[in-house]
Amino acid sequence: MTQAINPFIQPGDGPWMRRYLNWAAKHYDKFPEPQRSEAAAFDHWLYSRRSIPALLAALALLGGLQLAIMSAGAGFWLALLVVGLMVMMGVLAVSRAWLGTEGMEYLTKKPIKGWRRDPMLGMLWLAGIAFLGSPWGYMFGRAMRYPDQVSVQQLALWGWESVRGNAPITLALVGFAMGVVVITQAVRRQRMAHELERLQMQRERDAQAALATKAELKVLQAQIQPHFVFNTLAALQHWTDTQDPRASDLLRTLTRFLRRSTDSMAQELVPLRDELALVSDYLHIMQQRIGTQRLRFEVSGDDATHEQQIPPAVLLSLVENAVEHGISASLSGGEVRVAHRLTGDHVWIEVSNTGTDLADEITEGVGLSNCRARLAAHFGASAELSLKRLEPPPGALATLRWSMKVA
Amino acid sequence: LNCFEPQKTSNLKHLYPSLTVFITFLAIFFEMPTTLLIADDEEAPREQLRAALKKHWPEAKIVAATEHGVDAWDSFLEHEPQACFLDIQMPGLTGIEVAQRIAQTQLPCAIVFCTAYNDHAVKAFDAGAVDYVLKPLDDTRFAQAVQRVQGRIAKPADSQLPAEVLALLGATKSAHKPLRSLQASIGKEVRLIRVDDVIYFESDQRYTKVIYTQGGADAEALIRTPLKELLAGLDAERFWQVHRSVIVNTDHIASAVRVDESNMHIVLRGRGETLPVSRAFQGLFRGQ
Repeated sequence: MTQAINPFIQPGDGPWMRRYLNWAAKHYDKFPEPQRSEAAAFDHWLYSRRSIPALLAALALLGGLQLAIMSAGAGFWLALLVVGLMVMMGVLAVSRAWLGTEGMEYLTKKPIKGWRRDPMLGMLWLAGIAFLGSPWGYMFGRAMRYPDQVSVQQLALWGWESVRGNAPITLALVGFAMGVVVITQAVRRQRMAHELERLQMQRERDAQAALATKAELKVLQAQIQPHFVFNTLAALQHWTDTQDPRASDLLRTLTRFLRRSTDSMAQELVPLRDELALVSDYLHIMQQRIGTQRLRFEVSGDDATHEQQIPPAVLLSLVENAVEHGISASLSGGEVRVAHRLTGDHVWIEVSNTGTDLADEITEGVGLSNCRARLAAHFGASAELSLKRLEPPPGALATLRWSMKVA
Repeated sequence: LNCFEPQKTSNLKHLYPSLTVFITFLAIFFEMPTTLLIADDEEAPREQLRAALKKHWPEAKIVAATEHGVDAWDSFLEHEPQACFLDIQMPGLTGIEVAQRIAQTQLPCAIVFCTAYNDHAVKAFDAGAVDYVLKPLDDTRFAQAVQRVQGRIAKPADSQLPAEVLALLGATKSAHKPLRSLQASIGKEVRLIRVDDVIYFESDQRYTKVIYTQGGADAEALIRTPLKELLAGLDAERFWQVHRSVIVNTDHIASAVRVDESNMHIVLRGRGETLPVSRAFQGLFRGQ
């Protein structure tokens, strides 16, 4: 049997459930969305073993109600009628509250206007009509039975008798219906709030994932700057054209640099030893390009720091900044020093250049704030990154520090 | 400096642009070499540029191959080349800043930027008459750039950079640290001269002569920084370069006097001496 895909059928539904759902699908479709799936979910629950305790409880409740009304002096059939009315009223109230005003409009394809939009007022209205109608019915019934007793006073007396007799039951019914409406609305509101919260969390998670991807991309860009690569290729091209022996050395260093950066990029943390090797390669390439007169460098420090972990490319960014803004911008060039050491619980790294002074207002670029964010993500508040003028001038000094305890 | 005798002004003024064109045609006709300037702070690309020019434009003459923007600008003033091939990222002055200065002069010069990476600045070149080549150089593309430059030199009116393109490029301007004071050694004393007090700077071989006011009196000092290097740290609105060897504080200029077709000088407020204005900078004094 080929059957159009029924979205309400769940895996594990038995043949009877399937048959039922195939029939019910067209009715579900009359409802708007969340009610549509709620109805299907309710049916799934109702026609499964899970509903048995609830059904038994409902049966016990209604039986208790029947017995209570009978013990108050009503006959069996009268009590059954009252219980039946309560059930009907309950079903109506629950349906109205469950559908909500928009759901009703969707189902009936008619706009609901004015006070009827409020299910509570609708309920009161129905109860009021019933309450007002009943004395007339009672009067009419009595008058038919005892036609000889009919008089204005007697009719008023019967009317009052009906009102007095019906009031508790009417009030009970109205109270019950209103209670149902309130509970249904509260449940719906709570579920919507839950759903909203879930969506919000989903959105936040998505945003965080996007941010992480962006940060990763930035790492990638920070590590392999097109300017750097193409300028190095330009030098390589010229030296291969002219068969300059510097070409093979530069090519070897560039290859090693690129391989190291692509390897460490994939990692969250790398040993400082690897990062220092990367930095040395970078400085070596720059020195070959712009000459030993313009760029001198020194990378030195405690071997003990070599095993410390650091987010990749953080140190490289600092060194790139020192070369780009310090050395390359200076007419006479200068020296770049990278020094690392352990002091107590702290790892210290200093990157200094003797090229140009920092501008008066230190503008922190994306690079520096990116580095700071990545350090904070791994080492928390213990990570510090500062940039200041080098003493004696000219030059700049970047200091990087974090606690090993956190790492 | 007082070398300009007032001369009888001639009526050749309006012929001046046509003369430039005529001389350019003469140069082409007699195959006088086109003069070129190249600037790149790295040795390898500079040499590659030189080799490429030798290959694609053997008849042109490279009058200067400079290592930074300050030198490029100074050599431009010295040689007045017909075309410049400028790297963008250079110390002192960026290639774009050099081009901006060239654009402000009245000298026709075609400019080609050489850059390693096709970044946002390059998009601006696409919009205007400026050309650019990417490093490492591509033979075909470079030959095309050379052809364009040759075309532009033949029509000097087109060879200037359009102002709007330069404005677009302003975004890539490097932030120079503005100079606040100068230090001049006089015997054992190191005197601090506020840049605001300077009347003018004059290049004096390896030194720069600074004429400044101090407590109402005028004084003179020698500093070691070459004039061309000072330029990058001075406010271009306030300090005008009027000659390859003279930068003057506009607050102290009283008037500019045209001597003849090619000579002009400025008179300073309350001072006897006059300063020469070279041809490249005469456009600064147009009168409104």
